Amino acid sequence: MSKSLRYKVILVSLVLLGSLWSLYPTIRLAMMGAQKRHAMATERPEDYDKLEKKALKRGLDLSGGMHIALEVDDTKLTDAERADVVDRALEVIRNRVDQFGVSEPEITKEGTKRIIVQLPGLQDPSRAKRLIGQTAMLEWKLVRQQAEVADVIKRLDDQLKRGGADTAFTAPAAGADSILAAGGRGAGKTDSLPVPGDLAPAISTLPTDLTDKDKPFSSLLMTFYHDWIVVQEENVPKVRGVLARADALKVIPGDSEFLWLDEWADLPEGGRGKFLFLLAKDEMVSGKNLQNATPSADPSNPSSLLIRFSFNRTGARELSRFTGKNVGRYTAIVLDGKIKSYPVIRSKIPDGNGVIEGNFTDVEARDLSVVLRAGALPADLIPREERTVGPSLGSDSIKQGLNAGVIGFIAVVLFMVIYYGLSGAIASVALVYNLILLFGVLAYLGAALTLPGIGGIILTIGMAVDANVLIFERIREELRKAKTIRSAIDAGYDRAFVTILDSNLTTLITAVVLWQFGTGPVKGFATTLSLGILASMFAALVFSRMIFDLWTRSGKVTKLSI
Amino acid sequence: MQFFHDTNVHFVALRKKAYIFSCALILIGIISLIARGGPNLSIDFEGGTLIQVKFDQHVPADKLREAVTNAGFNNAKIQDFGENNEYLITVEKISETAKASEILMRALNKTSPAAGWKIVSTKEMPPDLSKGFEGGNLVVVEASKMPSLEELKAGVIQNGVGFMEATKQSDKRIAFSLPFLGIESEAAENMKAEISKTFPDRKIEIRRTETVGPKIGEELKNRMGAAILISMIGILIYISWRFEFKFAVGAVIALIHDVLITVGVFSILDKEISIVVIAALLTIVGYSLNDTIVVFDRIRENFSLRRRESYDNMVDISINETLGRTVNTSLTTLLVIFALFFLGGEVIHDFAFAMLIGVGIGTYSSIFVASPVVIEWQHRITERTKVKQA
Repeated sequence: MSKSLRYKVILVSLVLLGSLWSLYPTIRLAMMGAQKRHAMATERPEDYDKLEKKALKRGLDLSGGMHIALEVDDTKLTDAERADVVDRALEVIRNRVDQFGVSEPEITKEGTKRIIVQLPGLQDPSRAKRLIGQTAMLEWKLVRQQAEVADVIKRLDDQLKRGGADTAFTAPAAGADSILAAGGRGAGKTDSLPVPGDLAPAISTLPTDLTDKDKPFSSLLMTFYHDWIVVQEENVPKVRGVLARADALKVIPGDSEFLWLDEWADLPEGGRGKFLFLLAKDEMVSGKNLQNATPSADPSNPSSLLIRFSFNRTGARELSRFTGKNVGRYTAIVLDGKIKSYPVIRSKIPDGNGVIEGNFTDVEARDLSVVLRAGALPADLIPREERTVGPSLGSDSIKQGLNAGVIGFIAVVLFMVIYYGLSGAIASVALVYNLILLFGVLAYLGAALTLPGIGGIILTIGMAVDANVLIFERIREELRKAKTIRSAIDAGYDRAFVTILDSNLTTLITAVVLWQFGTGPVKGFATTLSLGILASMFAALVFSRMIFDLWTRSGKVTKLSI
Repeated sequence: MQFFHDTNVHFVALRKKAYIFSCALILIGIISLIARGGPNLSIDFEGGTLIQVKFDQHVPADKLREAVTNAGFNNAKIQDFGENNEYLITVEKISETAKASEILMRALNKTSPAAGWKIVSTKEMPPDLSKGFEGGNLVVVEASKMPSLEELKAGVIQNGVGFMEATKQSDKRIAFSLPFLGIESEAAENMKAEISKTFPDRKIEIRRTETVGPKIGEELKNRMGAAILISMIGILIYISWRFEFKFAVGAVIALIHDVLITVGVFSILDKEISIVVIAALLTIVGYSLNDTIVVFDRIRENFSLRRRESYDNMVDISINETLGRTVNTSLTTLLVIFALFFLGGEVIHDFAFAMLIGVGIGTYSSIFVASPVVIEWQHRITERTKVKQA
C-alpha cells in the first residue's frame, strides 16, 4: 500500500470512528426503548441527563413545545431604566422558567428589545405564557382608616356636585365592561363575605343619606365595613368611572389611592359586591426584598390554597418597622395593582413572614409562588410571535421524515447500482458513510434537528451522489479514450475535482447566507444542508476514492464495472 | 448502462425557441401574480394566526367555520389538512386598532374627562423598517375642549398607554400613533375555547398553533429579501472570480428565471409562500447553480482544448458531454424529492413541491438559459471587436 493511500485509510477510519463516537449516545437512547428509557431516567437521572444532552437534539417542531418572542414595552420607562431593561427582564424570565421545571429551556436576547423563549416538550402553553408574562409586582400597603376615607368621600361629593353630576356617572363603557369581566375569577363563583380576625364587625353606615341627590358619590356606595367601602355590583362600573375622572383625582390626597379587592363578595343583603380600599401610597413594604414564596393549605378553606412568603433581612426589618407602627390597623397585600388579601396587624411581625390569600387552585398557587420567587418584571412584555407544536405532530413528522428518507435512499441506491454497477455500489457505501458523518457532526455540534432539517438531509442524499456521478461519467469518458483503468480513475477524479469544488462551494454560499438570515426552522435546514455539502465532498473525494484505489491497486482488475 | 451516448443535440440553435418558452412561462406567472395582487404570502410574513386541529372523527367543515366565526374571525380560511380529520385554520392579519382605540379612549377620558373625546378614524400602519418605523395603530381623535399636547401626552402615559407619537392635526384633532399590542396571542386561545364548545363530544387535539405579529412578519420579509439578494451577489462574485463575468451573468439570469417560474407556479395554483418555501427557493438557487457550473466548467475546459471550434459549437459539445451527468443528478435528486413529496407529511409538502418544480426548471435552465446567455454575451463581444477592427 502506498504511503498516501495508507494515510487516507487512517483518516477515513478516524473520521468514521469520531462520528460513531459522537453518535453513540443517540444510538444508545434509540435502542433502549421507551420502557428502559423511563427506568433509567428514574433510577439514574444524572446519567440519563448526560446521555440526553449528548444525543442528537430535536428542534421544537419535532419534540413539540413552545416558541415565543416577547418584546419589552419600554415606552413607559425613563431613559435610565430603559438602558438595561431587557437584560433584567431576561434574568427574571430565566429564573421563572428554571423554577417551572422545563428541561433544556432556551432563553435568548434577540436584537435590542426582544426576548426569545423556547420551551421544548411543553404541554400547557397558556399556563407558560401566564408564568412568563405576569409582571408580579407585590406590595404590602397600609389601609387608611374610616375617618380618613369618610373625609375623602365628602370631598368627592363636593367636587362632583361642582363638576356637574349628570355626566359624572357615565363611565367609559367599554373600559368598565372589560374591567368588570377581568375582576371576577370565573363566572358564577363568588365568595362569602369574609369576617376577618376576631375584631367585632365594625359596620357603620356611611355619613350620608343614600337617597340624597346632593351627595352624588356616596349615593353610589353601600356601606362601610371596617375601614373599607362595600359597593354593589351594579354600581361598580360607575364608581370606577368617577374615580378615573381627572377632577376626582384632584381631591384624592396625593399620598393615597383607591384600589379594589380582586375577589367578589356575596353580600348579606343578596347579590354581589366589591370592596374598595383607600391605601396609603407611602406607607408600604415593597416585594423587591421577597426571599421565598410557597403554596400552603388555607386553614379557613380546605378546598383552596394560599401563599406563604418571607422577606430577606432587609425586607424583614422593613416589615417589622411597618407592622410595629401599625398594630391593630388593616393592611392590603397588592399584586399587580389588585388587592389579594387584607390582613389586620395583630402584633409586630419580626420574622418577615406573610400570607397572600386568594382562593388559589393548586396550579395557580404553585405558579404564583414561582413568579414571586423569581421577582417582578421591570416592564410589560408584549408577545410578538408564538408557535406551539403538540408532541404527536412532532413524532408523526419524524416518522414521515424517516419514511421518506429510507424510501428515497433505497431508490437512489437502486438507480446507482443499476446504472453504474459495482461503482454504483461503492457510491452507495459512500452515501452511508456520508450520512454517518453528517449525523455525527450534527450531534457533536449540538445542533437541533428540525423538520426542514430532515428535508435538508434527504436533499443531501440526492445531491451527494452528484459528486460520484460526475466522477463516474468522467472515468467513463477517460476509459473510452482507451486509458488504463488506473489512469482513467486518476484522471476522472482529478478532472472532476474542480467541478465538484466549484459547484458545491456556490451551493454552500446560499446555504450559509440562509443560515445567517434564517430563523428557527430555516436555520435548521441551512445547517444540515451546509454540513451535508461538506460531508458529501469528503465522502466522494476521499472515501470513495480510497475504495477505488484499494480495489484496483493490485492491478488485477481488468474491467471496471462502471 | 448508459442513457446518453455521444449525443449531439444542437442546443445552441434551439435557444430562440427556449427563450420564447421561458418568457411565456415567466409571463404567465407574472400575470397571475398581478391578477392576484402579489404573491400569496403566509402568516410568517403577513402576520396572523394558524391552528392545526385534529378530531377523533370527521366533523363538517361548515360547523367548524361556525365555531371560528363565533370566536370573532369571519374571514378565516379553513382547509382540509392531510387525512385523519385534520383541519388547518388560518386567520390573517388581526386588526388591533379596535382594541388600541378602546385603550386610548379610556386613557383620554381619565386624563381630561370633560373634553368630550370622539374617535375620528383608526388605521393599522404596517411597519416600515427602512425608516425605523416599527408599525402601529394610528388613532385620530377629536375633542371640543382640547387640552395642551404636552399635558395630554403625560396624562396618556400615566394612564397606562405606551405611545410613540402624538401630532396635532388641527385645534380639535390629534393623531396618536400607538405601538402594536400583540393581541394575536389571544386569538388562538379564543379559537381553541370556541372549538371545544362547538364540538363537546369530539376528542380535539390542537396539533400546532402559530401566531405571528405584523412587525415580526415585516422583519422576516426584509431578512429573506436580503438573503436572496446577498446570495445572488455572492454567487456573482464567486463565478466572476472562478470563471468570467459573462458566466456569472448567465448563471444569475438562470437563477432569477428559476425563482420567477417557481413563484409563478405557486401563484397560479394559489399556494401559500411560507418561510419554508423560501428556504426551498434558495435551495433551488443553489441546486440550479450546481448544474450550470458543471456545464460552464466543461466550456472552460474545452475552451483551452479545442481552440479551433466556433464558440457556439464548443458550447454545444460541452452541454452534450455533460448531459449524462446533468440528467442523472437531476434524476437522483428528483427521486428523493418525490419520496419527500409523497411520504414526508403535510407540513413539508409545500417545501417538496417547490423543490420538485425548481429542480425540473433548474435542470432545463442550466442547459437552455445559462449557457445561451453566455453565448449572446460572447456574440456581442465578437461583434464589437469586429466593428473596432473595421
